[in-house]
Amino acid sequence: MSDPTMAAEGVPAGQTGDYITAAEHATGTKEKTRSLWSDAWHDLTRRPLFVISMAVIAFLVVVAIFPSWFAEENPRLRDLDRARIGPNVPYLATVLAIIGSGITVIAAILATVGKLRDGVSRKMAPYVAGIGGVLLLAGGLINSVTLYLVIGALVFACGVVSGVPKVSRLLRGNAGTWGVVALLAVAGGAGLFIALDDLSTVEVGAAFGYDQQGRDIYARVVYGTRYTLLVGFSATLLTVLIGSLVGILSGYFGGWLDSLLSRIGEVFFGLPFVLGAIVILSAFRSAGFDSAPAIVAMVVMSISVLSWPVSMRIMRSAVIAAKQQDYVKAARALGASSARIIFRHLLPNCLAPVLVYATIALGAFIGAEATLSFLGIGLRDPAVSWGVMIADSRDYIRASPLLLIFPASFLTLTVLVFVTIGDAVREALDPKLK
Amino acid sequence: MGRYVIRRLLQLIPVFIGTTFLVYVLVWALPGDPFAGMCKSTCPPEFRQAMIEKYNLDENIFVQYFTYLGNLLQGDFGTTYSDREVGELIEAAAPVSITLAAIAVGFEALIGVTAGILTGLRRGSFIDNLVLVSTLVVIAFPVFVIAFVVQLVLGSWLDIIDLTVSSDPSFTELLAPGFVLGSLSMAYVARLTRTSIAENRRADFVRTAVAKGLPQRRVVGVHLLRNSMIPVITFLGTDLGSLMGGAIVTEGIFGINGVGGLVYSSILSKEGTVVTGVVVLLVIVFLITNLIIDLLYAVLDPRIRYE
Amino acid sequence: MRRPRWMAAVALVPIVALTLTACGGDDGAGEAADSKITVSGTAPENPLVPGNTSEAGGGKIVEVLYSGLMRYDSDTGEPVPEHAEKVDVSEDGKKITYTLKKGWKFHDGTEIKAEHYVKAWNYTAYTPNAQQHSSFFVGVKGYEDVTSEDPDGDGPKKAPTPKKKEMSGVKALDDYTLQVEFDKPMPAFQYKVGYSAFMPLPDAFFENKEAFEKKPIGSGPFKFVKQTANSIVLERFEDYQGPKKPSIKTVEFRFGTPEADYDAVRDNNLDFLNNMPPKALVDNVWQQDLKGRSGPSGNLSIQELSFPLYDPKFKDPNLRKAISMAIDRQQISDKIYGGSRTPVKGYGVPNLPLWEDGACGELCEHNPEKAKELFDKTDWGNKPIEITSNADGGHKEWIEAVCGQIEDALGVECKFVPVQEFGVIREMVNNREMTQIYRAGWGADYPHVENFLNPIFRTGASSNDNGYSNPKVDAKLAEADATVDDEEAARLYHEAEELIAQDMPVIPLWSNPYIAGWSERLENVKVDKLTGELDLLSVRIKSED
Repeated sequence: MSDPTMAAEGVPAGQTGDYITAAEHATGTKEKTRSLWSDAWHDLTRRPLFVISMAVIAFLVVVAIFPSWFAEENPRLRDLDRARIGPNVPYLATVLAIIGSGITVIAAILATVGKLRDGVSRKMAPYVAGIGGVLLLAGGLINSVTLYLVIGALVFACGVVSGVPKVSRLLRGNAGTWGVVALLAVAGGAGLFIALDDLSTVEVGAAFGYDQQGRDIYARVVYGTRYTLLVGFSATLLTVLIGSLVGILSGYFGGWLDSLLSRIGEVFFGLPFVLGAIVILSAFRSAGFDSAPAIVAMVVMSISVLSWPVSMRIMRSAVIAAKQQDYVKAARALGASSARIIFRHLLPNCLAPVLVYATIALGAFIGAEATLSFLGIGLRDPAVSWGVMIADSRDYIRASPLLLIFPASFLTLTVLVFVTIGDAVREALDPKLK
Repeated sequence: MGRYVIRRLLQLIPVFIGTTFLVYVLVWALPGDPFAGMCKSTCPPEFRQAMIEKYNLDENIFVQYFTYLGNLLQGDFGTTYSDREVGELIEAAAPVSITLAAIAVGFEALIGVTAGILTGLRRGSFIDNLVLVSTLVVIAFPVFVIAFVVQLVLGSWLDIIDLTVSSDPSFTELLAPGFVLGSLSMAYVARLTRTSIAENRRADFVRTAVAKGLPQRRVVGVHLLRNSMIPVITFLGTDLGSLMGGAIVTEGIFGINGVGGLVYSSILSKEGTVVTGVVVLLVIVFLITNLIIDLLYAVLDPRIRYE
Repeated sequence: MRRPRWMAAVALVPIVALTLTACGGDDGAGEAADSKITVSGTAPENPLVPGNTSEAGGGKIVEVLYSGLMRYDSDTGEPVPEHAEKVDVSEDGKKITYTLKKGWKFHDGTEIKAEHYVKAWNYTAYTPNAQQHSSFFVGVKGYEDVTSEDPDGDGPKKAPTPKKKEMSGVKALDDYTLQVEFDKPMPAFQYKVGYSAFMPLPDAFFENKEAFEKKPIGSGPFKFVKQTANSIVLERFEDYQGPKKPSIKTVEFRFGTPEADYDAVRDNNLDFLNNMPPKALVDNVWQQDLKGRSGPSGNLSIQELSFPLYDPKFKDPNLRKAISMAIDRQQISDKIYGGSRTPVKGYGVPNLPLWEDGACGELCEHNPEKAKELFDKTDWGNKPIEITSNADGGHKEWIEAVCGQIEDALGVECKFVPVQEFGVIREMVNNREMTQIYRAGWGADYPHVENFLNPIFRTGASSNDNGYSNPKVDAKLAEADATVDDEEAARLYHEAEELIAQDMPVIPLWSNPYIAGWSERLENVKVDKLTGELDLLSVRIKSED
């Protein structure tokens, strides 16, 4: 996604778009659900896609913090002799099969738990089985391992059978369900056993091959996670912080302050995103930042500076709506200070829409970083992100498309996961969509 | 209505000045030699002096900016280092960018709205889920990856399109780049339409229409669609503006000599007048489209009246 | 580095696109009267004034937009008379008299006379006009009077106004006779005079420079039509009376990125590209994509790494030798450039006449053990070695690779430090403010090894940017310069190279040939050996049947 300001469009109508006009200051009424948060959480944890996405993110965060756990090879080690050597397919296939089988076992466990105690795990099991099956199939396909293909197909079929309502009706009753569970467990176990056995026969390492400089792509992808996520999280945090602060001030105090802040917001909003970021980054480029934190800070800054007006608008309309509520009036009547009202009453109640925006924006910002890096003005050595890897690979797309495909698929997957979460959070928090 | 328009126009002025000033400062007042891009070896001092005078660089930034703005209001966009009229440059680059943006918006409207209507009317169906998931995937792809995929598949493998367009690209040549450019927004349009239709289906006016015994076709076609299209049109309108300048990546990959490419190369070569000139125009386009869309609201939605 | 382009057109390699047309139509000029071709280019940095156009983007346009006394022939590479009817060299060689052909016209219809040359040359030479080609008149009598040195380089102080505005050595004897006098014999002037620095300018230029810069009026085979944001369009000048007239009617120079231009040539949307972008060199895909319509055009340029010798940390020659021996040139050529670069072990390039490779000897051979040994003798310690360059232009890949090899051999971190703009680096180099090893390239003005040595390695020479100075080298070069016998001179230059290599102020890497590609529409394509540009006077469009 190249233009994160567009993320605003994912936010429910009425919370974005145009400013609420002065008239609405006076009449804003919004029903307040007392248990919004717990309600939403309850709702979210029952969405399999949300839970799976969260698990993926948790995993990515661990990778970002401790990359050396996942890759032994030094990502910076260059060796032209192995430049653009393709992936180690047998190894990659085996690893995919191991992961797929492991996930299948997890699916079996989830299905068991789901059968015994009704909960989200029951809904998740088919999805997890599906993922496990796809991984096994992928492993089997790239290296033509028939066993993996068979097991993968079986697992995937289990996922489909138990997941699609019309089909799963066939399995009504205990026997059918337990049958599927048993099948998953056996398939997963067998897959694990075979794949681990295969692992001892294949050469280990370089799962994704080497790039144009002879660096290990897998290691670079692993180490690239850090900067990719760092930019995404910091840019989101900064954007939301600036935006919320300005939004609260202008929503709560109104009047000339509101006009002023709104106009300032419009000034930044008026700059097309990519264009603005290029101008900002190239303007500061000559200033000679070349340490990794400085480069990251520059990119984060430029993203936030151009995106905060969106979260400001959202916060502002939420505050305008909330400040008409009785509890705010009551607090004011009791003589609470503005600061107390803002922090104790308004902030907790207006956070929801901003949070929705933040989760969607996170994915968008990760995409934006990649776009900027692709244009050659985002991150760069030593701050290597997936975007930088993609940018480096552009000359080799025809000769070695895998140089692009590996980082691009991780990038896409990560953005997808964040956007999925954003989508789920939005639906959970937006009463209108229930 | 008239008063509202005037008030909005007045509000545009500070925003316009603010944005253009911001860009002006970023381009001209930051550290670094503004002529570095021009003299590949060092500039002769006489030349440097002449340039400083030409662009008023010895004045303070406010004087510089307002001199520039003054010229701008008289239609003078200034000249580049090599003495080309910036106005002419923009004039030459604009048509192809406008065509491209229009094609992109066309795709958005066509595919996005269709998908949105289909899914909005049948929430929870297979198509609904399919569209939802595929829009998520499209949103997750950075635009340059989509562009490369299109180039690789349609250009290199299937040989349907040329990898890049010719110097004076025809409408058909711009279809593929336009599709790439519009792909992201297409996903948003689909989702926006879907949400909007889903919301309006439960609205009172639709229930009334159904209760009146109007045929389904009429309920959907006249009552539901017309009202659901308001946010979609807003989005398409603003998108048209932002796509004109936001096509830097797409234009670069497909070798289109449009506004995006012009401004990108100007930023790299530090051609300050071109950068500010283009940004000023884009800001004007952006502000005006926003205004028009606000007014359009009133036309489309009888509940909104501006006084 | 700078790519001076005088004698740019010397020694064109004719790469003739052999074509099989049904009727073998050779005289396409008539049918193809409305023919138009598009050529890749870059936007000129300055208005198209010949005396001020030194970069390639404007240079290739100026070359056909203007005419001069001589023009470099595309077949032989020799300068042949263009506007000059007769050339008389005085016996002592200090005076050359050119007789001009009558009836030649500028594009505005005014006749070209001797005084147009005199005025143009004086304008170009005069320091306050700040024309980049001023130094081409060095040696012309009176040149010192019209030039002055800036006391503090590029600093705030202005150069003093020169004594005179005109060189005493350039005179129009009458409308059609031009006489040039020199301080000492200058046989090379006859070669140089075909270069754009010596083109005449019409009266219109001196009357209204601004109007001229917007719409230049030349005298060459093509006249200026228009300049748009991304292109410059020229059209055949029908009154051009040179020995060779172009067959094509219109030329459009399109300014795009090399990547997009490559795709466009492949798809026949663009007719000519002078050099392949990096992506086309990967696995030599250009050979398949542009089969039968591409080829290396040769190029007298060398890629080098230069040490800022004024920075004390690079004082130790062992360090410089160690880095040189850490680099595996062949591997980089193979892996990064698809084998298209030719590693050199000396300071010249293989296609130089009489030049022999190998002056650098084992110092330019990949030898990690020896490199490490030498490196351990230095007091460099554990500091990272940094190499800087502009990041664009495809330099990132090979410098990264060089760094990888250095790390591998020397066991010390090596970093590529990209700088966004070439100009910034140039400025730091010129001001002697570099603190890192930097990329240096040299494009020769003419095919002679002297041009690879004298300007770079002589004490205080014009392009001696890193402050190298060795009296022995200076003496050897002077001796070689004064030697009449070519073979003997070549031997002396080789000895000078050997002396330089022992100091290793600059690491020679490889020569950089260009590879040109063109569309299927063109035939009779000839490509310049030095600039890699298309010969617009020869190229034709295939007749279509």
